[in-house]
Amino acid sequence: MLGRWMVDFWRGYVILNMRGPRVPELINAATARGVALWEIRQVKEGVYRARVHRDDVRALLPLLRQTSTKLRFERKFGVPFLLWRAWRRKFFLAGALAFLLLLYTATSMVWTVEIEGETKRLQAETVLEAAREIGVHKGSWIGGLADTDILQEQLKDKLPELSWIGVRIQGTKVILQPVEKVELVKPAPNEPQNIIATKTGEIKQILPHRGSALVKPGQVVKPGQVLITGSLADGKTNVHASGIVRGEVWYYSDLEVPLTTTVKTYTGNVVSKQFLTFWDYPVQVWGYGEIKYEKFEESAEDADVAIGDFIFPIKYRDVQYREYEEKTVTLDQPAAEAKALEMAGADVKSLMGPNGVVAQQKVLQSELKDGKLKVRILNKVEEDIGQPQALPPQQPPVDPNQKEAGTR
Amino acid sequence: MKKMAADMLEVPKDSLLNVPRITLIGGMHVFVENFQGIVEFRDDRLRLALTQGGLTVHGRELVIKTIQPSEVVIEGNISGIHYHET
Repeated sequence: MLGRWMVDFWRGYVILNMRGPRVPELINAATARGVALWEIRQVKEGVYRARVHRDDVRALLPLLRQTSTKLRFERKFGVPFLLWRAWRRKFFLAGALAFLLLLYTATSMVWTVEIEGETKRLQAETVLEAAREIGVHKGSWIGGLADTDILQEQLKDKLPELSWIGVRIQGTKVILQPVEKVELVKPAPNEPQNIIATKTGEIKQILPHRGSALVKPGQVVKPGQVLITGSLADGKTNVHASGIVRGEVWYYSDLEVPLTTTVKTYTGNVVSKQFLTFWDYPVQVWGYGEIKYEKFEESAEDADVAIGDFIFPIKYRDVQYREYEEKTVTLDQPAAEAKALEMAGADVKSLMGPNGVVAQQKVLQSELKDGKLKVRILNKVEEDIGQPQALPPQQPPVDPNQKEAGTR
Repeated sequence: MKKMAADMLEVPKDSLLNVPRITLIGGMHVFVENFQGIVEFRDDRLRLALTQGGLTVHGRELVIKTIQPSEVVIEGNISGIHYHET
């Protein structure tokens, strides 16, 4: 039965609506001429519905006249009708086909190459460049790429820094997953060296790791002076001296602190206006109204208007107007000195080493003049003053802080 | 002449003679072979002319499923068939 239906569908058939009192006669005549009607049913008195093959319709027409039956086609089924309809809409069909072709083309190309995971030493660009060299880049044909395990091998050959690289193709995206080789541990430096002082200061602590200490806590050392020597047994053995030497270094700060300062405080009142800028010409789109603040600050933020990767030459600008108040604050001498100490501390921090600590601060001179406080502050700082120097000793390094750091 | 031959050879008569053969399957299908034509076709009644006599099928929603020069298949809720020799 299904096979029969398929044949009918292939040949094409129509549902006929026959109207007239002599339809049974028509059926007999048609059958006698080999015109096959099927599924004949009476819809109502004198009206029948039947199916007939498309190529039999022509043979049916004279019989209709003979039996004075009126014919109407209700529906058309089958391949010939579909083809006919498709032909009528050939441009639409061509469009649909072109779309499918485009979609197929678009989906069989690499659109993005992505790197998954972090690489510490290797730049992502290097990996992408290597991928480009083996033909994996935006626009390359996915079907033309080798198997992922072959790509992995090729990439590994290009990038000897990697111990493994994963290549995965996900739709139009190629995901690279580089794994770096673990960095070899550098052998500990073993050249003979001394530890010398970099700054003038009083030794607070000396912890030789290798080599022997030449100075004791409490001793004042000068830049270039050897603190831990790597030359042992009267120069017979030279070792890589190392250790921690912490010394107290003095820094002097001369500062002027104005006694009156104006402080700006925001009231929290904000008005915002929105603009669209066309080639730097702003057109306001939102936030009309006057700004009633006496003093305000203006800050604008521009955002690109974009669809996907396409950036329009139009920018969206959000401008904020913030109200503020100005207050004048007058400091008395102790407060100004406290501020000066704070500033001196910050100043010294930039001069000392990374492990330095401000141990003590002292106001040496303090003078009020022209609404300003002139102060001289002594900062006592504990910091690492040791520095390696290769053996035999070369020229002692120049102490950059020699001028700032006072001499004792 | 044919009838005599059929009797003598003991073969089914319908295969040799041009006599109608009616097969009813449940109340759903009627197969009629050696029919002459449709006389009346209604939703509830279908009359066929046979080589000898006629056949009336009673029922509801009667449909001529297929029709060929000597064979017709009728489908529907068949309530009765009446064969008459005239």
